[in-house]
Amino acid sequence: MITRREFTLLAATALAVPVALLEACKGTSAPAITPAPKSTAAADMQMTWWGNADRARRTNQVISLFQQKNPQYKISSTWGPFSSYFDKLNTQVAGGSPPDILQMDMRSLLTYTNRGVLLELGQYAPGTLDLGDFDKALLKPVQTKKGLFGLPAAANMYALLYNETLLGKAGTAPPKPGLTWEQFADYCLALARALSRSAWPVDDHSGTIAPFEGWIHSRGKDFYTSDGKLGFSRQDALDWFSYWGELRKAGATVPADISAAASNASSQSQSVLATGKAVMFLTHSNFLEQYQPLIRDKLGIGPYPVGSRPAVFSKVSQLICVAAKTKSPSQAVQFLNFWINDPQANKALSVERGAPPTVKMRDLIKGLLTAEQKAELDYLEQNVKGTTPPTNLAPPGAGEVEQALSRAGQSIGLGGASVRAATDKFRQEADQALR
Amino acid sequence: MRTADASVGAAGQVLARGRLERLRASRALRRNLAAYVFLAPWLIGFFGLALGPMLASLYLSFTKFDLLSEPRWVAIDNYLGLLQDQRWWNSVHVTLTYVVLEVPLKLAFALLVAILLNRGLQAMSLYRTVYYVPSLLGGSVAVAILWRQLFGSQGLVNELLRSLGVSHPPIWIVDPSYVLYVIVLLGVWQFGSPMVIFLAGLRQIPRELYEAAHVDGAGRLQRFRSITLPLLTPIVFFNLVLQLIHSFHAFTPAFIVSNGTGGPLDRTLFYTLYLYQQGFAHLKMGYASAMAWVLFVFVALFTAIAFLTSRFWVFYQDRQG
Repeated sequence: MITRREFTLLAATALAVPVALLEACKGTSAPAITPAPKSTAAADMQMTWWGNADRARRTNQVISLFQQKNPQYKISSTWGPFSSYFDKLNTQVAGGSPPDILQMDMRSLLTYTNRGVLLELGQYAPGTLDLGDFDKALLKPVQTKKGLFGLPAAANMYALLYNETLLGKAGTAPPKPGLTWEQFADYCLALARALSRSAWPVDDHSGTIAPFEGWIHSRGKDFYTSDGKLGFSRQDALDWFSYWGELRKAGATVPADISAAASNASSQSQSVLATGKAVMFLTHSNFLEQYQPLIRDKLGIGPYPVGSRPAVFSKVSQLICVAAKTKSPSQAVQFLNFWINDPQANKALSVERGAPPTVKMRDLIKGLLTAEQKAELDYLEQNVKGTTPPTNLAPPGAGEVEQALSRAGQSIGLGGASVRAATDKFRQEADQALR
Repeated sequence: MRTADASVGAAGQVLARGRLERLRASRALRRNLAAYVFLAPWLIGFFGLALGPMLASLYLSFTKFDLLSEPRWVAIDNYLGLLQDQRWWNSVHVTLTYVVLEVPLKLAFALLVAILLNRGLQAMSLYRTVYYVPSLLGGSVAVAILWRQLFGSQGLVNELLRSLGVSHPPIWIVDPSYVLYVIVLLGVWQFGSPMVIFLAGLRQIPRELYEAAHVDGAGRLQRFRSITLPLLTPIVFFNLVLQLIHSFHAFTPAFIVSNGTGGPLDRTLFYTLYLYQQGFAHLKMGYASAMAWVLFVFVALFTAIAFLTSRFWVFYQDRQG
């Protein structure tokens, strides 16, 4: 029998009201502009990156090579999927203990640079950091007025991956180089008629940021202006959503629910390319060697659709950065130097993240590649001519723009929203994010 | 002179009384010291890990704070921003829908199972454990992942439906019209802890009452309505309040099922998930703090309503007549 008194007691002890509470330490420091001396004192460092198990194996190999040559340094590593990488990093940075060496995305570089999280690396070159052989075109977009806050870890390029086996079954030749977005659409429509029921010509990319960035770039526009606003018009976005709308209506894209379920799954093995649901997939060149082991069919790398100029350019695949707060800045920069210039390190890394950022290392590893890796590098070298990288870095808020695009794409495909309504909503949310 | 003496005397008396009181106080302190020492871990936890951060988040809710640089005072801008934020309104809608569906269903199910288990079966403790297990695992990531598999395109549920002749079952976890119900189901499945509390309550109801009712010719349903339910109302109330609060804070299932996006179409954008996105993905910690406080007020309000209405339907044994 429960009395009121007992009840109150019971309630009082059990009713903790957990509110989402966030205590965060503050404090950042601007990078020093004094000449940076080289220190070889013993150091204990942490490194973190996102990626799959293959990437982890290669990166850890570089770390152990570095430790063999410099026994006084110790680097412990953590890695995980991209989807939770920045949430975790933010917590570490806010807690005042960021990893010393960290992988960074071009879309987030300014977010962290502006807040003083990253170490200025230019002060170590020349000297600790040897950028003599570095691909200058790759380095240029990363150089800001305030300095150099991240080193391109490798170079990749937007690429079209296709399933050669399925194309063969449909009796269709792979897409030819130089095809425009319009020709690509026609190619998809023809392929839709030739394919069996269980596969579709191309994934529904209407909500994917990278192909959209490529689309804007191929129209001769910068995605972001120099003051961090959207660099394209409402019409550009409207054309984009209409383009995919027509393909979708004709049954040339993977149905929206299957596409959503695949991109919702955290594992690459469930992507529409790996499960053979999509014949073609717009992504990055270095993904060929990630997807090929996941499917029996033979995959190929093909031309990315072009507009008034190519959509592709030699792209910084990721950056490696050093935290401004690190206790061993010079030692961490030595690791970066090892990463870009050491032959053994580059043999270990190969082209998994993309082509090595120095010409010398690129030539060194050429003889050591698998068929897929060779195809990736060939694609990169054949398509780089006559391309121009974008001049402006993505501003803080670019991550929200990415998600707004994804929602807009899904609102049409899954929610039946009109292209016009989705475009307006996307513009409004993107503008809001960049304010 | 005499007045001065008198005042000195009075002062002396006051001093003496003060000393005495201090002595008494210190003796009281010494007597309670052991208690405070034993309470210390809890007190430190409460002040350091609960109250401190709560107050800090209250302050932060009036600032623009990106986690990485100093907070900047913006008064009530964050709160005003919420009102204009369509996605925030959506998250309120999603969460309220979830609470309104999940709490009653879960309590009803828990009560049903508790009554079934209260009939003196053999191996009772085994059953109790088995039924309690889901709620031990319930908050965990593993179960949410399992759920995602079950309701995925090739999941067990769809395979079952296909074998029953449904040729194109929906992909539940990305279908805007079903996904929330999938998560409600996950919530209801974690009925273990209210069930155990119901079971304890059922055990406390005196047998004599049932026997007397039986003698008077009351049927099973009538016994349930006239004895079990009224005597169980304090437990129902307790479970209701607990589950209400719990339900408002649901996070993990939505986070896992939608892979952190709150999709499709923001249909699983629970309040706490949106808060997390704002705070940790978009670095708007001030805004997220404001959201946390609005949620706190929400929960307090709903709890208060539950308490206010309780006098009309909760029956306490010591207050009868």
